[in-house]
Amino acid sequence: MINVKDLSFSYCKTYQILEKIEFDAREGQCVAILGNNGAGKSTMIKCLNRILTPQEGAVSVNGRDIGSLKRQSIAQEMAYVAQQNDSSQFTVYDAVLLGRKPYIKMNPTEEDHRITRDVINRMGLYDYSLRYLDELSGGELQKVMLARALAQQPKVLMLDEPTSNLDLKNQYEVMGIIRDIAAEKKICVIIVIHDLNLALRYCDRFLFIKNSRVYSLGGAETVSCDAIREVYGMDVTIENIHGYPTVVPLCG
Amino acid sequence: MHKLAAKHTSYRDYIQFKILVIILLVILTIVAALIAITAGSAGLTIKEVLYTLAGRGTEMNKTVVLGLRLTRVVTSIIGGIGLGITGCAMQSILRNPLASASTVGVSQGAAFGAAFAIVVLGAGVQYYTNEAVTVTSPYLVSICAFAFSLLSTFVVLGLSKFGDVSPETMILSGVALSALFGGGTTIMQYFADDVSLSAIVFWTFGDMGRTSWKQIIIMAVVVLFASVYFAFNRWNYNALQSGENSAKGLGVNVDSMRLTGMVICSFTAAVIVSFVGIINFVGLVSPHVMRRIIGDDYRFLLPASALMGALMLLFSDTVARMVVAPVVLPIGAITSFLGAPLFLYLLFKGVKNK
Repeated sequence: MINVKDLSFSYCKTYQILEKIEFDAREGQCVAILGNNGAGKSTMIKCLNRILTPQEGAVSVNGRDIGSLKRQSIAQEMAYVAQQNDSSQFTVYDAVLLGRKPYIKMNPTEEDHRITRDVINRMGLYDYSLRYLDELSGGELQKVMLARALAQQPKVLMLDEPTSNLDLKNQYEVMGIIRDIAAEKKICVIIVIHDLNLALRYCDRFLFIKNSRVYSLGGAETVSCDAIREVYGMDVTIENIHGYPTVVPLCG
Repeated sequence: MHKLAAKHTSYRDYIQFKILVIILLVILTIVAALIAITAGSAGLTIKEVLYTLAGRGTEMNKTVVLGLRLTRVVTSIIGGIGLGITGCAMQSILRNPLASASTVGVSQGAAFGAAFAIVVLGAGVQYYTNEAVTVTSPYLVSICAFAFSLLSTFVVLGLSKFGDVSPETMILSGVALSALFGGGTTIMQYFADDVSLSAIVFWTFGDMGRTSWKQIIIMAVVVLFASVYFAFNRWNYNALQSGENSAKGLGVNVDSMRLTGMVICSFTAAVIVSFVGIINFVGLVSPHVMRRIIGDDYRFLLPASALMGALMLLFSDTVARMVVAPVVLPIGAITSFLGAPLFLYLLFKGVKNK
């Protein structure tokens, strides 16, 4: 599905943010991008769909080289939800309809409206589809942005800390929706996330970034006490609570 | 699905409301235009104006309506549409609610250009009995105003291209350039003789009555071209509302759209300002007024802001002509008197609502 090869990026020549990042992921998989603050996680996903242009490396989706595509075509393959989204006086419906932008030539077609309605229903946004974005709570706005990304009908969905502004209930609800949609629509989801327990519960693969490089990539077994100590510089224990591996910090 | 279908009907109602607002603005603009043509010392009635416009009026009425008033009204409509739509587009492109023609130094550049033409190039000034002063080479003044407006724009855009194409760089460069041109104009005024000084001041006041049909056609072509360009980019402006990265993720080529958009906005504003003088607040306030009524959707906000600009300028020009007739007050002052309180009202109403 997605293949990333030798991806390198720097804002200036002296400070390398990403160095030869390599990984791949299949359809239906949720990949958690993990690492400490400033490790380059957000930069990495911005490089995948060319919001930032990497100095080296290649990204391909189903064999198509993303670097050779126009921005509009990239948006049909990959959708991105930013960490911070500005609210405005847009209705929820119009905000989700905007997800069809990569397909709209002059005006949205009936098909665009149908997809918008389906996504709004699927995300449970129906009740406030005519409310303005600046009237929504942080959790509701995050769901709208997720819905917009789904309206793009992407093959790869990239989310930059989708749960960072959400309360406990909304964190689990949003992550549940993401995982279900990944399986249902056969989308590959790449999530930058800080909460290791949420990642362990909802993601299939885990990519740790340390010192601008991939430290490890694999299943839940790669999220070990040693890896966390190496990447975050912190001692933890991982316990099984109600069937879920749970990271417990050994400090404080 | 049934529930959603019902909802879609209300969405349709919601869209129809916006279309209705735009239709209402068109009607109001036509009515305001007729009132503007009628108002004045000739004591015309709307019926006489309509007859004359249909080509069946008396010679006297034809002179007043077609020779004097119609150019004013058409200039106000086209200028207002141009300033309103460029203000609206700039506020999206620069992601700044204070963006308008003066943000990138267009107005100050034009004022400096006019002063330069009058003082240095000797555009020539003469007295009239009923008007204070007028320049004998209006084209030279307009060309200089236009050239310096564009110079200011290209310096701002050039500097941002040199560093990064961020809205902050553009706005701050615009502020710096405006100060520079402001200083230049002050120096020109300091060394100008009394008559030239009056001419500079009168030019910067703004006047809807100084355009010829040839100039109106130039303005109309530029405003039409700009409007078509902005209309094609309406989905891009909508995408930009969620932030630059989100817009890129939706397939918008933000940097190139920003540069092209700014060139077109500045060019359009420069053409208008160089023909009619400095008009404050229309480009800034009309998008804000319409935002409150129909929201941030640029599909509707662009045409609504354009029409609101036309309406504001028509109203201001009529007020400027009528308040202390036969003296015509400077329209720039009227738009400021109208725009500033309106802007403050919107600002504080917005704060209270939040």
